Amino acid sequence: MNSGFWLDSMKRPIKIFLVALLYCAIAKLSLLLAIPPGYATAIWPAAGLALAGVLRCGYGIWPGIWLGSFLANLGTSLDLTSGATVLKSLELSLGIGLGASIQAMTGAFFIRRFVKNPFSLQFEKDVIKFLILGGPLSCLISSVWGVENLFFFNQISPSQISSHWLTWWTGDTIGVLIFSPLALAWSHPPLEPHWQKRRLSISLPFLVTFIFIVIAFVQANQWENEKRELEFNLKTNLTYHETEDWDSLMGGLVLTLLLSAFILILTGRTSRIEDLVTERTRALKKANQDLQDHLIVYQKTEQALLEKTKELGRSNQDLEQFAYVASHDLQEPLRMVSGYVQLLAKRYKDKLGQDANEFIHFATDGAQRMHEMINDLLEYSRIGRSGKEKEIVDCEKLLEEILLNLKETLDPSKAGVSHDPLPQIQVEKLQMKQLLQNLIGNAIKYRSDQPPQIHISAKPEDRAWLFSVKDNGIGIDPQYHDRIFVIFQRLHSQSEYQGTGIGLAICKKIVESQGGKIWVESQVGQGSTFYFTIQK
Amino acid sequence: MPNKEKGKMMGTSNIVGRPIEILLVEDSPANVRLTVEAFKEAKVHNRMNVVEDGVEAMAYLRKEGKHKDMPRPDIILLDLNLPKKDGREVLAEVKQDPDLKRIPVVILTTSKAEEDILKSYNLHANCYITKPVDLEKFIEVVQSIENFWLTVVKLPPD
Repeated sequence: MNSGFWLDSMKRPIKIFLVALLYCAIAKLSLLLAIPPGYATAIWPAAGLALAGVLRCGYGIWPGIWLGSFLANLGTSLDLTSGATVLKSLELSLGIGLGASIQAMTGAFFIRRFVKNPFSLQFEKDVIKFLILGGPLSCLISSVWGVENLFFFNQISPSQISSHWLTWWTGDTIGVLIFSPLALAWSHPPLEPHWQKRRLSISLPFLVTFIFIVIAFVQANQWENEKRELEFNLKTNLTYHETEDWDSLMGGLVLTLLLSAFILILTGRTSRIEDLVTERTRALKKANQDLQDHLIVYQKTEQALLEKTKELGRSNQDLEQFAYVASHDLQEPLRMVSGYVQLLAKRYKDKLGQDANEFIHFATDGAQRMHEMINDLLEYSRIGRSGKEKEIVDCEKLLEEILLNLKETLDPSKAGVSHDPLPQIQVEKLQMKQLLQNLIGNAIKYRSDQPPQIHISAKPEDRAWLFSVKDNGIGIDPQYHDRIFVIFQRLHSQSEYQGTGIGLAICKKIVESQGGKIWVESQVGQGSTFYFTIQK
Repeated sequence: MPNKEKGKMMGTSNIVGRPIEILLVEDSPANVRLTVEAFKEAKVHNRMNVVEDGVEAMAYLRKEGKHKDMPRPDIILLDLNLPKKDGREVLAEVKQDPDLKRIPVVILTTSKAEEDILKSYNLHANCYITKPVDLEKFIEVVQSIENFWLTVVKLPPD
């Protein structure tokens, strides 16, 4: 509950005073419509006010109700003929006031006990319990008590008891049914996002209902009086004619009950739906915002990625350009070294002593190796720069060409090459040829004591062909499985196996430039299987 | 190391009966010497005249200035990358000159670039040779230049 709300920040005596004042004023107005002798009326909004007052301000508010009721009734009952009559009217008014406050407290007690949300009244169960407990049920108290008092103080005759009780009870009940929800709605700080809307949507139908009831009652009274006058003329019966219009009173009450329940339930539901819609809209907005935020983050990431990729592409290109230029330009000085050392060897061999011969030999050898490396580097840097189009290549035919190229190494080693059915793939033909030739060449080069057995196969995967080249060679220690693909990295000395260590690096670059992967599965002494993927 | 081996006779005689007049356009002294030595090893009877850049090459061919008494070369060995005037420009000028265009021009370079090869032939180079790194192979190349252009091929009279 909002402590800053006007009603809740008030001191209790002021609240009591206000309730008394309000009760008295409303009661006074209502009593204008009372049936003779002027206590019971079919419209008693004060009862609704009293119930709402106790519910909102607690049981401590009862003196306000009592005082209000006392003052209002005193105005009707005050008989100044003698001291005894004054006392009597005081007693009567005090009694009626007591009944009114007990009724309000009892109603509030039951409502607090059995109604889950007595203030918001959104749910059908709450509405019905609230109206029944606070209305017809608790209104029995004041009506029974009040009428008894009237009878006790000789204000009404025994024959008038039932009609008075009915009028009283109906009046209180209708008052509660219409005015307690209204009073609660206006005196309570907002309980829901659409509270103000709900206040308004309750108020109008309730007030219309109330006005309709007032008009109907006044009209009914008029007819009654006319009828009575007529009867009076006919029967010259001077006794007060009690209201026997039970049907209309009960009808009014039930109608009010239904209408009240209907209004509350309807507005409650509307309010719930509106809350739900608001809630959903907010959630949707939030989700949308989140989505937008994500989108922005995503876009930023994508942009960054794009830039990084571009940068990487550039630096990669620079590197390749560098490798190409460096290796290209290195050729010239190398040619000088190599040429002059060879010239030296040619002209001065055996003229400068044994040492000189060896030195010259090593220099020539070094220059030769460097020449090979530069050529390899040039070749390596050229992969992916050729700009040649991909074409459909029949791998079986390609293998035949490769085996023809390798004939000179295959035949002396008594190598056997077998293969599964090989597919047609779209690749740069020369690169694919070099790839397979390097792998088969390695299988022969690094053979074991037995004649090399090489098997090539290809099997389709989701998006790529998985090729394998299996041999029965010397195998590779698993710790070197990555290193063998690095340029100029070798596992053997020149005297064991010649070469610069470019073959597998070239294979890796070819496979990766086509978007594939290459790896090896092998153990020392158990042969090797090289796998690579080529996109379909 | 001398840049110009002017009038130096070496090797056996050829079909012309006199030493072959060679114009070598090459800026690197080491390269010049290596080519000279290769010709020596190949035992080609030649007179090697060397110029260092494209401007001088044109002056030599047009007998301008100090080159006015120089003989007309039987063959030009032209490098592509030269100071002042590029080998490609020299080639273009020679092949557009009515007096000079019949002299065989052999592009002798280290470049293997397809672009260079294509451009040279488009400019009517008579042949394009990438200098081998290996000396023995270079000697073979030199020998075959001499053998082909000055023995096998029948060239028009001057």
